[in-house]
Amino acid sequence: MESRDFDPFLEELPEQVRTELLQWIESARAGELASVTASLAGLVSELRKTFEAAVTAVRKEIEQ
Amino acid sequence: MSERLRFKSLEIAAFRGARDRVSLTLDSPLNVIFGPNGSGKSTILTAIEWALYPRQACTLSEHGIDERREWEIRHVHGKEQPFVRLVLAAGEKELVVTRRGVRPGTESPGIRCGYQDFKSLVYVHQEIMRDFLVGQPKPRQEIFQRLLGAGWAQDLKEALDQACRDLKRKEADEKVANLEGTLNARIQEARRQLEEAEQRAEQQGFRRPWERAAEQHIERVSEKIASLARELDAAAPPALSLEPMREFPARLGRVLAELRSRGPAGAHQQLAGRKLSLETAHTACLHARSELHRRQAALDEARRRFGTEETIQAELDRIANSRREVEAGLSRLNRERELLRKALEVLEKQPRPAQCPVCGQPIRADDLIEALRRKVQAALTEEEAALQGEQRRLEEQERQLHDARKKLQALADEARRAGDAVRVKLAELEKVLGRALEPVEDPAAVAQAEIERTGGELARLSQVVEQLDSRIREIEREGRKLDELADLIKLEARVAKLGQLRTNQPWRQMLEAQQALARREQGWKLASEALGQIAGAIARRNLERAGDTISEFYGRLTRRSDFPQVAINPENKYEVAVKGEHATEVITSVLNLTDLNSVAVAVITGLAVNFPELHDLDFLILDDPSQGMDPDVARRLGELIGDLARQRQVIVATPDPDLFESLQRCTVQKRVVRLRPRDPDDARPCVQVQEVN
Repeated sequence: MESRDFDPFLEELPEQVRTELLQWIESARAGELASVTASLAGLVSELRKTFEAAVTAVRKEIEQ
Repeated sequence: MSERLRFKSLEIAAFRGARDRVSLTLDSPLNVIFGPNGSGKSTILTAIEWALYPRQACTLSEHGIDERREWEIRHVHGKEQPFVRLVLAAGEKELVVTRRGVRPGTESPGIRCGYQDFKSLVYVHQEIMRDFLVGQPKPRQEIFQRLLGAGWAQDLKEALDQACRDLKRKEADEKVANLEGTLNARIQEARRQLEEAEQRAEQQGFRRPWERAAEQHIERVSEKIASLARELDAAAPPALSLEPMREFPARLGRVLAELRSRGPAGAHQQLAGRKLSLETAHTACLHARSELHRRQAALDEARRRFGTEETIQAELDRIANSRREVEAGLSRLNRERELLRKALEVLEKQPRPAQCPVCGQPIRADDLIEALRRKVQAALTEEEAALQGEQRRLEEQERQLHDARKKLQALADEARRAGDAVRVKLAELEKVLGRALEPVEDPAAVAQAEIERTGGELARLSQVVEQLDSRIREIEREGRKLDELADLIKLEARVAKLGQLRTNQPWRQMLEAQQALARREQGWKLASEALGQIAGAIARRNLERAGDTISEFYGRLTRRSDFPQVAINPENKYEVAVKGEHATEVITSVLNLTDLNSVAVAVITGLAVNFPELHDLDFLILDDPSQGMDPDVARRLGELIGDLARQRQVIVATPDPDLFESLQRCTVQKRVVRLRPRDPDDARPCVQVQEVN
């Protein structure tokens, strides 16, 4: 299947998600799933770190 | 590597069943490894898997093959480290993979074929084949979709699902909810404390606003302090203020302490110190004086017993005279003794008459001389003893007099020192009194009078100090009220701050971070769903392409006319059925074991030849594919594999003589490796190549 054949399955997705997913699909089809996994792990780590830092700051404010 | 890779050679040692080094060249389109069960076929095939995927091949969660649950890579009858060298080739280019040790490097050999694809599309394990037949719907669907070229979409979907799990969005929501709860509880508690503090403040007569009330109260307290300072003739302390709130009680304490030290309390303290010094010096003086009296009494007693120094000296002189007289007597005696000795010598030399010239009686002269000598000697000895006795008595008297003199001198020294101590204490007492005493005055008596006068003054000052303390305590009580007001104002500020916390930046950032997690999770879930649909679409489309081939292979194997076709339903998790002119039945309901295995082999081989583009490996490994098949079907499978080998390289391992015979008849170029049966009497069995054709 060509990439354009996937369009019907992607049209409902938000623009950003669709763009990212298309990039990941290209990588996965090229046998580069490891790079996608690493990219996802980096995103997860960054989001979690930001959230935990914000939670710590709020907790500090409450306890002051 | 862009070109597709074919198998070339394999070298193994100390790996699983292979104790000694085994080298195999397997570079023909069809490569057959034939040997009975236990001869080492699976050892050879799994060495290929381990060389390409050393970590996954040993991890149960990756390979999912139960029989590898307790896998031992090393050959169990030796101590050597396992070794595998695999050579693949794409045209003239070679890819050499070498693994050594039970934990070899896990770096990828750089081929485009994930482990899951390898396990489904390249090396078809018997357990994978069983999943087609009797497996659960979900794993069956996953295997089918992978076989049908949707493995990459499945893998990407799994990566997104894993990322969603790692986001821990629910945990984040719980944390935010917990913080909400904590904040509400803190606000409630602070409000309760504030209400209580406000009630207490109102009971003490304060009115809102509290800061204004505090400032007014500070003014009142400051006035009282200033009034007190004026009365005490002290400098006015610095003005008090509410800010900084936290330091107010300490500042008030310092002001009051300074006032205390400057007023009558200071004088009282100084006077009390002077009285204590006087009392101490007075006591020391009295003690020294008592000690002097005791020493003088002891000296007087000694003088009474031994006399004075002059009398002792006169007695010593008298004894010295007596001793000289005794020594003169002793000298005289010695002289007399010498005279006697000489007289006796003269006498002994004189002629001695034998008889008395007067009476004619015989005379014994020697006896007479001896008697005379003894008499004189006895008289001298007696006198000498008397003189020596007198001499000893005088010596004893002299020694006693010397002792008495020393004792008197010691007592006199002690009395002198006691006198010196009394003088020192008196000087100290004078110093404490602060004036030079008249020579006639008794310093101790003066001190006693001073002490009494100081005591009177102290009693008067105590009353003044008590009054002052009372006023200071009152100011302190007012200060404590201010402390409470300060706490109240702080509580008021805390309640306001907690109430505004939800609009502050940290709180907003936390909610934004929470929403970012939720947005990501939602997006990835949508992407995962889309990938699931894409995988299904790929699989369905490819199934349409490969369906005829699968049915053809199935027909060649089973030759069944009642159900000549295979029907795979993607809408029902790829349920496999067989289809005839009049009926379509699920395979497990109508097929025997041979035909069930035939369906599985047909599906795998049919898909393998239809979708070579899914990965870089241009070979198919079949491990005992005729297991559970009748001999006729096994022979037909041999023919099918022979045809398959014209399109893709095939490595097939089998213990089945019927399949082997059929494979040998195939006209495609092939290499046949016969393995020696395991020797049941060998305590350390190993893989051995018997013959290569």
